[in-house]
Order: sequence, then structure tokens, then C-alpha cells
Amino acid sequence: MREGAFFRGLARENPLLVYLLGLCPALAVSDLVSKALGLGAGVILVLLAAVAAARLLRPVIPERLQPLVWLVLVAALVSLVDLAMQAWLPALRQQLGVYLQLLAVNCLILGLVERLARRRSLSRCLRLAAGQGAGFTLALLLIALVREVLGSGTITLFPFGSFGGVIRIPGLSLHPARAVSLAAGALLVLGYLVALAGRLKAGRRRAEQRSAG
Amino acid sequence: MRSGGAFALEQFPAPHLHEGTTTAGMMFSVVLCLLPAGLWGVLLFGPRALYVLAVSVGTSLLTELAVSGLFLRRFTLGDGSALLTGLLLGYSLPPAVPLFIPAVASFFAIAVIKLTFGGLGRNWMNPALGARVFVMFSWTGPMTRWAAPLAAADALSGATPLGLVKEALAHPVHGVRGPIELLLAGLHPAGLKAGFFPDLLQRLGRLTPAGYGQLALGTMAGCIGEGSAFLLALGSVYLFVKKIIAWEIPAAYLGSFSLLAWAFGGLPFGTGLFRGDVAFHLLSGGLALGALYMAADPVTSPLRRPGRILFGLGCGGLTFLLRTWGSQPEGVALAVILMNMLVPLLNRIGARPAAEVKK
Amino acid sequence: MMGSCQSGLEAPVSRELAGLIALSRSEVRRTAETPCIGCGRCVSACPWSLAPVEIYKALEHRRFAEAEEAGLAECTECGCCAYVCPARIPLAAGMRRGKSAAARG
Repeated sequence: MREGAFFRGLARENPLLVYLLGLCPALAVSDLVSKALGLGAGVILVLLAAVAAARLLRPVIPERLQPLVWLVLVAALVSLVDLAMQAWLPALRQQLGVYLQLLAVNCLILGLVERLARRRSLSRCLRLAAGQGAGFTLALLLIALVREVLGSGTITLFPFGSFGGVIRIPGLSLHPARAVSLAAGALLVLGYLVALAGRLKAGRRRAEQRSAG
Repeated sequence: MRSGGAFALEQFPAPHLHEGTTTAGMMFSVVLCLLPAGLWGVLLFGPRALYVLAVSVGTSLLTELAVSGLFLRRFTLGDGSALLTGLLLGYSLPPAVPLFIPAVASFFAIAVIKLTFGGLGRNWMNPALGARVFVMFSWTGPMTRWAAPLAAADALSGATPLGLVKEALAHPVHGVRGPIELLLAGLHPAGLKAGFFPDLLQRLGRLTPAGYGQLALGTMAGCIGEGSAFLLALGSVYLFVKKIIAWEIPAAYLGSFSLLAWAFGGLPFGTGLFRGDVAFHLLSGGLALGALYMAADPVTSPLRRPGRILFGLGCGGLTFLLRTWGSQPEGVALAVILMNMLVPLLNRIGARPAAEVKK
Repeated sequence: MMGSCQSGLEAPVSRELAGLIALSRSEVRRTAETPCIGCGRCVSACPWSLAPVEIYKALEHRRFAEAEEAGLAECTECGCCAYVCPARIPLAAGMRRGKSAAARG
């Protein structure tokens, strides 16, 4: 795994599985794969736009007002994404419900904007933000895959041409374990994935120590 | 003077005597005490019940062997806790469930509830009950299809006594003063198909007084091990005598539940306060199993007496609330699980206050 | 219950010796240690109303302040807790070692 600014956010510094940021949407919209992908895309868009705008605006805003301005900025961008989805992807927007609008106070987005606004290089900022957004989406996708397959026996993607959008898994779709699609299942799946990520990280660290020492 | 030689001296720290109990001994004792109730259930419900129990126990043993061996690097089947969990879980399932349900439930109980948190002694929720709740919400349909043991030949429907009462109470009830009257109105006479020894059981069914008698004998629809409160209680006497389970918990549980059932049980029927049918509530559902064997499980119950009494009271109160006003007919599993979560808090009650450390 | 094991018959006997006990293997009933199941027997057995299991667990994690709070200093190492523990956890020995470890800090 290359250590570039982008790839860091995917695995080693994955915001959801390593730093446990953005748990609220992670638990709420990970019961369907399409919802996970939709929200993830929204997060990436808002993140990139917000980081870029904040980075450009920072020199002209007094220090004490900056957190407020970032909040307004993110809220405005989330509203934009919300309106765009209402226009072009209304079904998805309905499914995501309030959790799309809640991105305005998402700790991952706000935290990253706050942190990256100070950096010098715009391209590095964007790469870091893209990496974190992609990492979040990837983690969300993993949770959603497990939850939807076990909890509903399906994988819901976006309709494309003659493809209806829902893949049914033969055995499971008859008798899925519905509890996995419920809140308890979300916490369980997230817990196991975080533990797995931690284990992989510890293993990698041990391997590095062994090769260094 | 000889040293060593004829006898070998083992060295270990004091005390050098022991009362004699082991964890495995306790677990196997509980299993033994549970067997009569299970045997009765199999007798009533037939080979189907036996398969469910076999799958439940078998899966729990296999899961413990595999997961404990792979992740914890220990062989833990010897402590008997997996066997006990599998058996308790099997007892709390309906006899007609498709067999994948006991398998998944058992796996969930052992791998998720117990071993994920560190194995024996480290789980904070009762594995059998937690798994039952998981399976209840996952496959609600199959989990609520009941087979009345002495009913007509192909009657797979027919709810449990608690289920019938809850359904009936959903519509306004007139002129019926208690749950037994409600049930007697809709009870089926002893029919054709039963488990093992159908003729004997048929005769028994005809001899049993309808209503309370049926409940006491466990010949109504229900889970495999829940039927006979008497057999469960009988088994538990040995456990109390041997101090394997703490008497405070079932006493507080059944005591508070009975009080509430007596005081408020008549309200849904419109008969006012202190007219509740305590006997009906004590004999129906998984109360005996839950109060005697699940709630009193040492791992998930408080350490000291005051905590235990509060634990029992809470279980009783919650069970009554859930049974009367909850959406499901049975409240024992959820009540005990909720109280399990409070155990760390309850453990602080009765602890000596922090001593002043003299320097 | 509070004595110490001797390694052989060469151990000297003096005037202060209160007693000498010889136990057969079957009387000792020694079994392997298993995890604590929270049965609470040690709590009921302790003559000082301590919770040996809490002290022992605190000591295992080297949380000496917690162990002291739970009553480590009041333990007289009588061994009643270990006598009844079904998991065969060496509670009394743990307390003894814990006291010196806590003193060392």
C-alpha cells in the first residue's frame, strides 16, 4: 500500500474503522449498499468542495470566526448536494432521508475542514480529503455489504438498463437474518470490522518492527 | 532420614484444602437438573423437539471448540458451559422451528455473545437469552409457529397461552374475568397426534383438568423446555441446596412478579386492582426457566446479596411490564437481558465504602 | 489453611511450630485453574466482607490503588476465599503477592 496522501485515508488512517469518525451515518445508512454508496458519494463531494473553499477563504477570515464559517460553508454545500439529489436522484434522496442533511454536522467533514484549512499545498489538501472520503465510503460499503447480504439476502445497486438494481442471493433471500439489518446488527458488524482493522494494523506494525529491528 | 523417595511433596501456596466444587461440576449439575424438564418436552412434542435440542447442543459444542481453539487457543469444552448454553437455548425454542434456527442461534450465543467478549466469565449478557432474542427478531415468523402437543392432527397453528391472551386482549373484552376463562373458551379437546407414547399421553390429556391443569402439566403449546414449571422447580431444589445458584434472584424475581401480577393483572380484563391471576402467569411462558436458570446464571448476575435482590426485582418488574403492555406475548428474555446490562452498576451496591488509605 | 508448604523432610521443627499437617493427594483435591465465573462465593466466605475477586482482578492489572480501595490492606490471608472458589483461582496467594507488589509500587 503506497503511503501517498490519498491512499493513507483508505486503510491505515481510515476515518471510520480506525478513527471511528462519522459513526452516525455509518450505522444508519449501511443497511443497503445503494444507500451506502450514495451517502459516500455525498461525503466525498462535500468534503472536496469544503476543503478547497476553506483553504482559499482562510486568509481573509479572522481566526475566531473560522469554525463558524466552516460550519456555514459545510451546511451550504450539504444543502446544495441535497437539492441536486432531490432533482436527479429523488428515490435515493428519500431513502437517505435526514442522514444526508445531518452531514452538515458530521464530525468527519468538519474535523477535516478545520485541520486541512491550515495547510499550504492545495493539491495535498485535496488528496488527503479525497482519501478520507474514499476510505469512509469503502468502510461504509463493507458494512453495507455484510448487513444487506445477511440481513435481507440482497444487494441493492442502482438500476441500469435492464438490470432492476437488486441482486438476490439464493439461499439467504428466503430467510434472511433480519436482526442484522436492524440497529443491533449495525453495531455488531461495525464492531467486528473495527476489530479486524485493528488486528490488521497490529499485524502490520509487528511486521514493520521485525523488519526494522 | 529419607527425603523424597517414598512420597512426593507437591508445593503450592496456602490454602491447601478445598471445599471440592469445580466450575465444571457446577455446570454439569445444572445440566442434570434441567434434564427432566427437557425429557418431558421431548415426550410431549415428539422427535422434532429432540432434533432441535440436538442441533442446538451440537452447534454450541462445535462452535466453542472451533472458535475457542482458533482465536483463544484454548480447549474449553471441559468446563461444561457450552453444553449448558446449548441446552438452555434449545429449551427456549419452539419445537417446530426449522433446524437452521437453533444452529444459528447457538452459533451466535457462543461465538458472538460469549467468546467475542473473552469467553467464560467475561460475557455480560446471558448467551442463551441473547441468542433467542436475536433469532426472534430475525425470523419472527418461524419462531412464532407453535405446535400444540395434544391438539388435532395437523394443527400447527394455535398460539401459546400467553399469545392467545394477548391477541384476545387486543380487542375489547367483555364478561371475561381472567386469562383462564379466556383460554377455556377457545381450547381444543385432547386430539389425535402427540409425541412419544401418544396413547398414554392422550389418556393423560383427557384426565387433566382444563385450564390450570394443562398449564401445570405443560401440555399446551410452548417452547420445548418451558412446559413443566414443576419439573424445572424440582431440578432447581438440588441447585439451591448445593448453593450453585443464589436463591435471592429467583425469590426476588418471582416474588416481585407475583405481586405485580396479583395487583395489576386484572386491569386488562377490567376487573380492577388485586384481582390478577397469579397462577396463570407463574405457570405460563418461560418464567420458570427464566427465573430459575437464566436469571440466576452466576456470570451475568450480581456478586452480592443487595445487588442480587435488586436484580431479581428488576427482572420481575420488567417481565410483568413487557408481558402486559409489550408488543410480544413473552417478556422474560428481554427483561433479563436488560437487567444483565445493569449488573456492573448493581455490583457497586453493598460494596464497602472506599477505605481511607493510611500512609 | 494459612501454612506454607515444606519442600522436604529436612525442614527444621522449632518450639514455635503450631502444627504439622500431612495431606494425601486425594485430600488436597487440586485441580487446574479456570476463569472466574462471578459466582460470588468468595464474597460470602470472606470474614471481613471483602470482595476477593475484585481485589484479585485489580491486582492482575496492577491497579494497586483500586486494590487498596477494595480492601487489600484488610485482608488477613486466611484463605477462606480460595477454599470455596470453584474456579480454583489462587486468591489468597494473589493477595499476599499483591500486598508486597503494592508496597513496592
